[in-house]
Amino acid sequence: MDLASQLPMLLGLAWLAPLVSFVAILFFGPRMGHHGKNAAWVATAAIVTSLGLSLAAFGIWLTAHPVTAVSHDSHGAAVDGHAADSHDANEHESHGNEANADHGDHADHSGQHAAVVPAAYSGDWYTLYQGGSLRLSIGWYIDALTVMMFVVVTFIATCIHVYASGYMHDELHDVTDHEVHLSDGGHLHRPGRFPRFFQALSLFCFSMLGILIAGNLAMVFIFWELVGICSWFLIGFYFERKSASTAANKAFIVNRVGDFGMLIGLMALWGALGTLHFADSPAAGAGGQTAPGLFSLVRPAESGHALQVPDGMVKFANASGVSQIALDNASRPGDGANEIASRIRDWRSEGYGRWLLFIAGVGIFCGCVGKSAQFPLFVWLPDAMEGPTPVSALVHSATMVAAGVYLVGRFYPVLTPDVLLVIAVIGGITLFIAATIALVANDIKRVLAYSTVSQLGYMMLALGVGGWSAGLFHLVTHAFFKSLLFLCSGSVIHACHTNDMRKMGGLARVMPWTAGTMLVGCLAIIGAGIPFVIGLSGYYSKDAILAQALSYSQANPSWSILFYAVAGGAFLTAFYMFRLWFMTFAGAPRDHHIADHAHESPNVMVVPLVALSVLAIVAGWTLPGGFGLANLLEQARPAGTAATMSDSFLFGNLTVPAEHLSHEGAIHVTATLTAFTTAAAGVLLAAMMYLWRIISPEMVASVFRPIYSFLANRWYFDELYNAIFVRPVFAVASLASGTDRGVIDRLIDGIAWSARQLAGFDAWIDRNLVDGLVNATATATWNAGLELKKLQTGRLRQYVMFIVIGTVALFVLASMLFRAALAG
Amino acid sequence: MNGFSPATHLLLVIATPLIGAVVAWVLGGRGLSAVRQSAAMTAVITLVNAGWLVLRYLQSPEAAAGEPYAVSSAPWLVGGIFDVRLSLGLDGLSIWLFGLSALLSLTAVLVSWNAIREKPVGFYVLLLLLEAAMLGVFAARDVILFYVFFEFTLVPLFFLIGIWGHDERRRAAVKFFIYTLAGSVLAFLGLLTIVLWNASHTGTVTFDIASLTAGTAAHPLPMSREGGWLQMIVFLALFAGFAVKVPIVPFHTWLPLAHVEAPTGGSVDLAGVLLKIGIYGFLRFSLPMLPDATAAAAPWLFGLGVVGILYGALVALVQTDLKRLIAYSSVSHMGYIVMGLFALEPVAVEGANLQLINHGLSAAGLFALVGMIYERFHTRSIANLGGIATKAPWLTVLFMLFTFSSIGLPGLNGFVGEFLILAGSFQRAWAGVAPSLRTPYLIMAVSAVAGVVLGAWYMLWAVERVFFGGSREPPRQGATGHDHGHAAHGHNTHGHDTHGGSDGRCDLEWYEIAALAPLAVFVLWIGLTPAPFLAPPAAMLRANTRGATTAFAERMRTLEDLAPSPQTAHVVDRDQPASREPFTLTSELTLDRP
Repeated sequence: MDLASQLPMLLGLAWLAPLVSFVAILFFGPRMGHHGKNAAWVATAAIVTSLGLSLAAFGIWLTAHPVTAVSHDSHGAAVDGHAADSHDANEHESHGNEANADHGDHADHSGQHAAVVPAAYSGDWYTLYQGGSLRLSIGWYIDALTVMMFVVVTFIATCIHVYASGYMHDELHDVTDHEVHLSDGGHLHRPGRFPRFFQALSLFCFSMLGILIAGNLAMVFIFWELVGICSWFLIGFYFERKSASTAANKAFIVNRVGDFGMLIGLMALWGALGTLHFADSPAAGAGGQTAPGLFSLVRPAESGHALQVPDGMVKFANASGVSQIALDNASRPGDGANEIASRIRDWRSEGYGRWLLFIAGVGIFCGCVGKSAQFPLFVWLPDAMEGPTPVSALVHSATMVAAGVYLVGRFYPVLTPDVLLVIAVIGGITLFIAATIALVANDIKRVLAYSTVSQLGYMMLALGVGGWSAGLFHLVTHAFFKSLLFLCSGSVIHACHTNDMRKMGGLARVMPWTAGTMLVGCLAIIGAGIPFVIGLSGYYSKDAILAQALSYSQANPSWSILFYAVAGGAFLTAFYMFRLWFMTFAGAPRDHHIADHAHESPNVMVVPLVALSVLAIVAGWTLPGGFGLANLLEQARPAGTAATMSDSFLFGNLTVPAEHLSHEGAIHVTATLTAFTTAAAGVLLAAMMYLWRIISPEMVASVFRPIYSFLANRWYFDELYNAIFVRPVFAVASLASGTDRGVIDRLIDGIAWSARQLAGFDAWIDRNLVDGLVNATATATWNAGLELKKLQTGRLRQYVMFIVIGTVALFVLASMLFRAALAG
Repeated sequence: MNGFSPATHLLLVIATPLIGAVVAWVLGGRGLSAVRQSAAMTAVITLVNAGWLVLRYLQSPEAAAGEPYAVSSAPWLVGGIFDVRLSLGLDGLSIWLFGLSALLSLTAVLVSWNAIREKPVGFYVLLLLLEAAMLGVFAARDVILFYVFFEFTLVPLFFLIGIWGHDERRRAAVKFFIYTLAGSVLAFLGLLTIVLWNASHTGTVTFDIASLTAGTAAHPLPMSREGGWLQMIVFLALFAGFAVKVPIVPFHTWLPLAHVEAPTGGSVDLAGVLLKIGIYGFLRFSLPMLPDATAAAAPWLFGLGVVGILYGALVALVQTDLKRLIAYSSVSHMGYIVMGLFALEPVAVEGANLQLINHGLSAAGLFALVGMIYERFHTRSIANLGGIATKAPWLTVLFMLFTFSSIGLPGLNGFVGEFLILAGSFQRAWAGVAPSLRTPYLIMAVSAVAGVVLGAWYMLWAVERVFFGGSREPPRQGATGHDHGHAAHGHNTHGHDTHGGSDGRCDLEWYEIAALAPLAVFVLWIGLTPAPFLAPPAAMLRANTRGATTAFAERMRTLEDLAPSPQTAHVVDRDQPASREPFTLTSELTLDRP
């Protein structure tokens, strides 16, 4: 069995299937049945194909790398030999248990961990550009994480395709858009755009899968941008509505701000290291040699995969030292190279290159801040709810926003403790701000949007405090329950034709399936479960995050705020989720008109809900024998990241504790109990306010009026950004535009005017002085001409001679002047 | 091969538009459709022929060896030490621009199909003359010939703007003409000085560009006080000509005016090809012949490029006229190209050279589409437009495609060029400059990345206002106040009767699709497979920038020596190593790399 060639083939096809569907619908969409009805089938067939292929890859993976329980010495077994001969594929062999020297007090324990190299396959399909050391290529990097994310994304996308084929049926005939008011007072009538929707959905899936499979950062960036533009299409689907097209632009441009940092990170990495590939890859031109990728440059196998500033960055930062040695050994370049190599260790310990590595890490994270809607760039996500609900479910819960978290996870080995702290703090701020805004939102989709932002903050925080597997675990479980919640909200909106929760209530009776599945989603997101026994998927992932945050707080007491952010966030999450559920489904209907017309959604919409709610329940479970997501993730753990990492640079002494430490007794128990208590308290408070009505929400709002309006206005972030970014840019732009016309152009015109004045003066001189002179000369010439007539021999030879003499004389004159000028 | 020699083939390609111009003239009496059909036929024949020639070039051994192709040379003024020749040929530097000129000329003819009804004979004759001049500029291998073609591109465009333009056409035409001419006269003086310098060393007054390149390499123009800084003076003279043509900020103010007033066909040629001649001039003359002066000026020009990126983008952001907005976006994009070129880093130069073509395609496409919008709604004011996506979906799709190309979306051509330019510029800033210049260079490179954000902002915002929304119904019956100006020129009486039916739809006509489809194909083609487009010029680019790159490295080394010696600076200041690291040659670093 040749895994190294089967996996890229299977996942590559799974990746391309949506592209085929996109192209097909692009060209033949409107002709696919009545109003392009069959486009839904084409797109769904493509994504089902992807799902099938991903599952096949998953199966192959499991047979080759069986998932076993994470006992601390079974890692080697999980990545047993697969000595496949790989022509263009490059395989990382497990090197067994190598000793890991540093990491003081945990060395005995983490030694085995750190040495484990995850099973991963990489290679290139296609080279876009090759010049110097810059290689932009389309390739793959496949490990357990890739395979798992493929299954998750294609599964959720399949559910959403099926659901959308029901939800979007309005687009199958001419649409009257009641939100668009024409100048004549009427509403806009337009033809349906059913196929266009599925076309964009397919392109979106293709782009997202491209990020997942990408073998290098340049390819990530390419698909990163494509995801951005797909979200632009999807958010702006109702482009006749001003709010939708503005939201689409906002999403894209805010994401571009993040890409600004990402590009700088890319340039720093490429400039210093000369590669953007994750894994080692065949060197250009040379046969058989491999060029080290980013992972092995930053965490070389020789040093036990411990993080260090790569040689390239050290040399780069100490360019003066390098050039000095090169100058000293100008005659013997070989010696110079040797000396440089021998000095690198010293330079590294002097701290050269650490800034560069920090900038690279933070730069890449900036891109993730944009895509994953982190503070301060989260403002686009709630507005993005202008898109159709299936889009919200796909784009803004399971995929696009997941891309940022995924990239942090993928890029994890390169991140230093300082970068990780930045990530954790940003995540903490995000989760808190978003959760507080969700407390007071009344639009059902906006509550979910802010809850998404908040949960993404959780993931980032988890990654930042060293919980690599906790963060990605939560990414997966969240993908299931958040898409479930969005689809449920879509079902409610479909039934009520409004997003406003204040007009809902008592819907559980008319739409029991939706209410039930949404309850599952709410329970999952708050991490409900019986402590230490069993729980929904969120129970496991949230526990892991809390435990890791606690472990980090204990190791770095000055940053224990991060743990409180997580615990407080758990309380807020429980409150606003159950506020949503109670307001929507419980109690008596607030608006009878809406309640009477509400109805359960058609089966094509309910079936995906049930499928997703099953997964929202079981996704976190670990079966007897060790099969489960958490253990599967451990297979992909980047080499060296299982160990405790300590460093002291920008933010003082930082210790990123090894993740397995958080599974230990005291920490685990404390975390689980904290999670349970906070969540229970949140649900209880929500019930008191919105179910039993013991506390009146209106009263609370009026007592805390300033805070309430601060939150209801979303911390005034839009206003703030408008004041400190948008308006200044426009002021500068107007100034530039004014300068352009008023100064630069006028200057040019002024020069032209002066030239004309000069010409006028010249003309006057011409008429009065020169002309007179010329007339006098003319008379003289005439007379001279009469004399010269004698030279007019009519012989051609003589004429040519005169011309040549004249030309030569001119040139001699010119060259003499020219030389004189030089000499002078 | 194929019956006739490449040299004849090239002559034929350049002659075809001239013949076509005569044919159009003769057919003038038969009315509009005969004239425009003959012009389109000429443009198609030229394009097919030019495309075939480009393909022949790509397969030729000369292309592989990096040598000129299809060279022909006829004595013009030859005698004694005097040697002016009519010599033509193509090489890696010119091949894509040559092809682009042929491609965009067809676009220019087709977008004028319905827009030009007044004096069509003169219009199409001038358009074809312009095509011949553009093809000639890129094929000229002789300074005099180059200059003749260079000036000759001005004349037809002057009349095209001045006669068939909009309200302020006269002012725009005169400004465009005088400004460009003033610059190019200086450039010509500079070129003549190079010729004389070369003559004073070789004894032959040759105007052959290749010989001049070799001659100035053997005997560089003096770049010192004793030599009167002659090389710098000549560089500035050439700069005057080329910088106005590009245009580099602050020499750009003729451009928005000329674009806004020009007829669509003129805008297409102007944005697509004529702006490129400036950069082509830098690559053909300044960099190889004046390497030391280029190296001295490079940091300033790199900075001017960045200023252009940001300045153009900012000004574009607040424009109210769609065509003016695109014109300023051109200023911004040309800023990227200038920056990439004067980064003097192979990757960036290759990117800049590709970006010439990319911008030619996307800007020409956008200008063409703006023209089509104008024909339908008789306004270019963004505030008066809106909701076009519902009425003209295909027009919208194409506009979006060129917009995405312009904002550098991966998968389309703009991304490749932009990415390479930025990568090379960062490479230069990180590792290729003296310590004192490192911070300014990094600031400039980072600012250039900000252009990526601004670019998306102004383009997508314009798309939103012009194409999206549904509440605005642009006046379609010529009811705006602007119309008195056009009524006299026949813009008003036509157009909407041919476009659009009773349902409010007014999508593209066949000739409009024909005008834009080839551009769209290349936008995608270059975006998906850039390698075959990057490869042909690579050797020539390396050869023509080698001198300047070496001189730049030398210069940085000198600067480094003037700085405090590395030993004293070596006392460890651990927190800020970046601020005091002197430069190293990039090549040294790349050698170190695996």
